Amino acid sequence: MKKDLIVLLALILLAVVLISGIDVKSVDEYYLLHAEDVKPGDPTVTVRVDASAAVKAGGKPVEALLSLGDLPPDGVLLPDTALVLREGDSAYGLFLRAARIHKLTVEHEGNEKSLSGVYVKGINGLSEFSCGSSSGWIFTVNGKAPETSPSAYYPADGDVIEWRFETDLNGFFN
Amino acid sequence: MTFSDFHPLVTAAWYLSVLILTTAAGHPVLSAGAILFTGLYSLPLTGAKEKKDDLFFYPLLFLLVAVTNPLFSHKGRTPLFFLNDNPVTLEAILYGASFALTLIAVLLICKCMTKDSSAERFTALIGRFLPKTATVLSVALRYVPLLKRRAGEIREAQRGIGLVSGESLTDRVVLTAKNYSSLIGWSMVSAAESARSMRARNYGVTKRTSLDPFRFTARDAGMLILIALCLAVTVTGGITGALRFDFYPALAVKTGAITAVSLAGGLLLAALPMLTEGWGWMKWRILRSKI
Repeated sequence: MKKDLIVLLALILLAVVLISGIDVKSVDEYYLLHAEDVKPGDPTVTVRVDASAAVKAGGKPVEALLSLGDLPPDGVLLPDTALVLREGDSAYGLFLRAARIHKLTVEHEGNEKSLSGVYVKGINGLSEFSCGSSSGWIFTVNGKAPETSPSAYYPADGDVIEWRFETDLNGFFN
Repeated sequence: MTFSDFHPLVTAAWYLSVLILTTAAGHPVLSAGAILFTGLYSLPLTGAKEKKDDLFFYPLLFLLVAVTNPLFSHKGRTPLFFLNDNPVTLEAILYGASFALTLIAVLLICKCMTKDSSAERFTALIGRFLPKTATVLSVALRYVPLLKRRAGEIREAQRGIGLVSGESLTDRVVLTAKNYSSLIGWSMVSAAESARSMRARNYGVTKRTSLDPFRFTARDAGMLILIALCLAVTVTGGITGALRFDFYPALAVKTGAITAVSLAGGLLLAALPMLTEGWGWMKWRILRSKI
């Protein structure tokens, strides 16, 4: 009986740890209603999401998204959007804030607090491998891809962060 | 008249075609039909305790698969809520439910197969072309009930010498793991022993003859043609795209006359054993003397 209690306690502890890591938001809570007010003089970062390469490459998943209107015909999911850079904002944090304001769903793997960071798998239904086995989302800062995860990259005032869909990531990195 | 009265060729053709059709089409209507019809067909084949276990197991499996899929797949365009900022979508839940139906249908079909097919039928069907495969298959089919029986024997023996106090759940779990290891040990030793014993008795030294107790009659031919017809109708519908049922990125269901006809073909195919069984039962009820 004593053994059972110890095992039960361990199981409850495990369940508590697991449940404490869960964060549930309703759709309304997720989509932030108000765009940010940018006052002159605030440090800002520009975020943009571009899938024009996927539109150019075409293919079945892309055409399905185009016909549903989840992907605009020019492939620009989010035009240049200025966001206020706050203390401790990571590239991923800023991107997620922009996505929540402009009603884009983000499919990601990993955790902002974890060492390996976050990997963005898909944006608004357009996910990795949609245009072949080496296609996917890549994030660049001022046109260059940093060698860190987006949740570990802290941008500076005036940076342009772009999430871009590449059809050949092998070629991109080599 | 039961379904297993047909020639092994006919039953094998049915099992193969219905398994391939259910998995390849992945259409929830076909899967649900297969569950309903094979479930009804398996009713007289299963015991009361097994029925009770199944009634618990299959709904649990359905829930597990239907809930697990949206946790890992975030495709789909209708988010219901956001879990750690990942969208949990309606489409992913529906796909999980549909996949669970297919999974349960396949499990039920395989269950019926093990219940109504004896080793004799397997050897009659493929023994002439693949004698070794037939032997291995019949041995493998025998193994599941054999292991179950042996596990029971080990449990009883341990209860007999007082190893199981029945108090602590942890103790029982540990003991089950130990039982598992002795079960594997026992089975390995007995497999090696029977192989040696068979060799000692000159098994497989001379060419063997085989007994084929099954006759292919006109009734078998009729059933085979019916299976082929149903299969042809549904496969034609599937090839023309009438059975398309897309979940991602948005739910897209094909409807129309061709879809209805090919679905009817698939459902009739799945219902054949149940209809045979039902026909035999009706005849028994009607012809039975009322005196």
